[in-house]
Amino acid sequence: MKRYSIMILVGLLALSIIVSGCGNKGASNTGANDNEKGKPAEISIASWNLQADALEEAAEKFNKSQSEVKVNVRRVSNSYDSIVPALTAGIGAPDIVAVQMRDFANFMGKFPDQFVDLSDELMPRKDEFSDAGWGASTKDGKIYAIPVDIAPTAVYYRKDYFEEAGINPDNLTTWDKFMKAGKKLQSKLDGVKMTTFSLTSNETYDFWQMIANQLGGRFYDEQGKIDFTNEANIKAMKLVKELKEKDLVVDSPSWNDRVRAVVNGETATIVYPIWWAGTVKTQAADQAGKWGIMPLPAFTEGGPNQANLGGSVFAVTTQSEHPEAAWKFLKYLLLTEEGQKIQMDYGLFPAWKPFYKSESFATVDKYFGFSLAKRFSELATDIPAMKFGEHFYDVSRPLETAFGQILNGKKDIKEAFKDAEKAASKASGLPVSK
Amino acid sequence: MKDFFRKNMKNISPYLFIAPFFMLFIVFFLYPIFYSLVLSFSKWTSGGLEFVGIQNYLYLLTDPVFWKSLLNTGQILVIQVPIMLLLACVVAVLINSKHTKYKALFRLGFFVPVIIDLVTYSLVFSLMFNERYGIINQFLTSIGMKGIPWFSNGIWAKVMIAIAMTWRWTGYNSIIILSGLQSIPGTIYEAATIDGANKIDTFFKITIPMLKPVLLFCMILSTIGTLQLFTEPYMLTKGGPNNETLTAIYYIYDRAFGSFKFGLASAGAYIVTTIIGILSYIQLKVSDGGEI
Repeated sequence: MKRYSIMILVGLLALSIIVSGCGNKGASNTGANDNEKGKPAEISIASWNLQADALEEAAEKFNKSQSEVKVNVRRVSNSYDSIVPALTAGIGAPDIVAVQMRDFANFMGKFPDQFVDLSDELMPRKDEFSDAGWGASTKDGKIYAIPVDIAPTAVYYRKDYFEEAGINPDNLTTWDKFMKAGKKLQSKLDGVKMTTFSLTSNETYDFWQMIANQLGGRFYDEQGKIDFTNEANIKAMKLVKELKEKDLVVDSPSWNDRVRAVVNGETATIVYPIWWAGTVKTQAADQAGKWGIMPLPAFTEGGPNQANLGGSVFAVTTQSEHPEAAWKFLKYLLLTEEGQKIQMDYGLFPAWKPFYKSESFATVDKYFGFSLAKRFSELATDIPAMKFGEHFYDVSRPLETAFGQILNGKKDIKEAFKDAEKAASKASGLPVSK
Repeated sequence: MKDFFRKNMKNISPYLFIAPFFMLFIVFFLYPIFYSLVLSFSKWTSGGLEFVGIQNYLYLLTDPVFWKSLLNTGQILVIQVPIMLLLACVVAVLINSKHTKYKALFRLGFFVPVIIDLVTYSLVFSLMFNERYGIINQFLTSIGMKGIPWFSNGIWAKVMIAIAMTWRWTGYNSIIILSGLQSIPGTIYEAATIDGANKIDTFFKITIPMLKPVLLFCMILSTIGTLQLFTEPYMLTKGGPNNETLTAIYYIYDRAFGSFKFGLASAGAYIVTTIIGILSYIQLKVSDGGEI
């Protein structure tokens, strides 16, 4: 008889392990009162790449400066694959998550109950942030995320190559001139092409978006209907195609290929936002002083030449046990000069405008030989707002397919964009604009 | 009363022993299987589920990109699996040969790719196949040939994926086939040799037919594995160029974790499972269940 009861005991034990595994959340909730016992409230913040680097430095300084809150940085991939399951399951998410601005509306649509309403803190300070930072943070008049960085775009160019080929960057005011100069440069320099972006992977999208943004391109019309076939979008694609057909591009399907093309000196320019500066500095340290920055060429003399690519927001999750502690850290990070300076050092251009007047903003960058922030702030005065919407993913995927078909020569631009409109409409449930 | 209790407890003990497995099975298999079935008929947000009928299935069956992903998977399946299994047979026969020394070493060598970390191996492959700096294209250009557009041409990208998969799984299959080979009685070969059959004859007329049940097993496993292909395209090509290496599972992953359409993704998973079921059934039927 004794034997059987032991067996039952073992069975129950196994069961209790499984059950207790599921019920972990309830147990850890009691930790909310740690503060009173003098233990700091621990919060975690999830981000990737350069931003995670910046956060690690900021967290260290913040943790030392006070004893109430302890911040841990969680490194994740930029495809959110460790964040999404946690938000889906409603358990295990960090206190603060970084989300790309263009994805946040999608997050709000799918996880409406997962983010803390920050309106009380942020509404009175809304004007302190650049307009470009408010692309996706609000829903139904409430603010759910704080703008972190925006990403004004420029052309990074090799000064030494331009000099050798006799090109004056100040004269490259239109894309036509840019392409002519490219031909000239390629005839003088062996093994170098004028620029680089992806011609064969879905990352062609990024280059196209910068050009379309510059022209005021859009995904939806005023009524919120899908509109890919507007003039700006098509004009931007024509340029992408022309650059390819004139053989001015080193094909760089992935990020690593782009870094390699730059490090190996195979490209004379690269069109990218301010955050590229951080990568160039670390990956091509021996090219210090060789890179200059000029505004994007326009389509017509004096035409619009500003664009944004990227930028991110931070949101506090409702799963957080210490939302006030999370906010305390965000305040230090994003609403003080000290915190913003750390971000700036890593090439993240703040969305918080008071920082633009600070001294550190004008600090000359050792690698480039001029103040990056200053130069880029001149390129962030009039960036056309781009609305990404709740269905951005459903909208961008068909466009990526269309770009492939166009660059393959399988379809012409109009036809491919029309088909993409239909596909995007089907995936998102939004009608196509007439 | 006591006897009754004792008798029944005796019957219950085996169930208790397997209970832990079944509890895990219920939590990690049965529940997800049924929940995803429910999901596949719904639209999901973190707020709850909304029943939408067969809308998800209709969407998938009329989405050209989903068909493209199935076609890609099919193409890789038809080309890669037979080549890999043939290679695996050859490797197994060579290892099994009387003249081969250090058999354990060879067995290990061919099996090692299976246990290497997926990410590491994909990284190495992406470096080797890189169009401009990779060792393969460097070699080709050094002997005067043109570099192969592994990443920018759809056909070559598929070939690269197939090569990567073949490298990883050939050894695994050859170990299974090797165990099959060792169960073929040597007397049959002796008899054939006396009748004047050469090595090639015995391979095709004795070895292959005798291996039928083992080969069927390998074939079904490889078919299932290939239909679930995800890691290689995810790590190497990101489904590119232009969706040419987008596989069915990659498509499903993309919908689930890219646009959070978990309902759609679940429906896709059920479609793929159905295809796997049908293909396995056909393979079993055509080969008479592996009877020799």
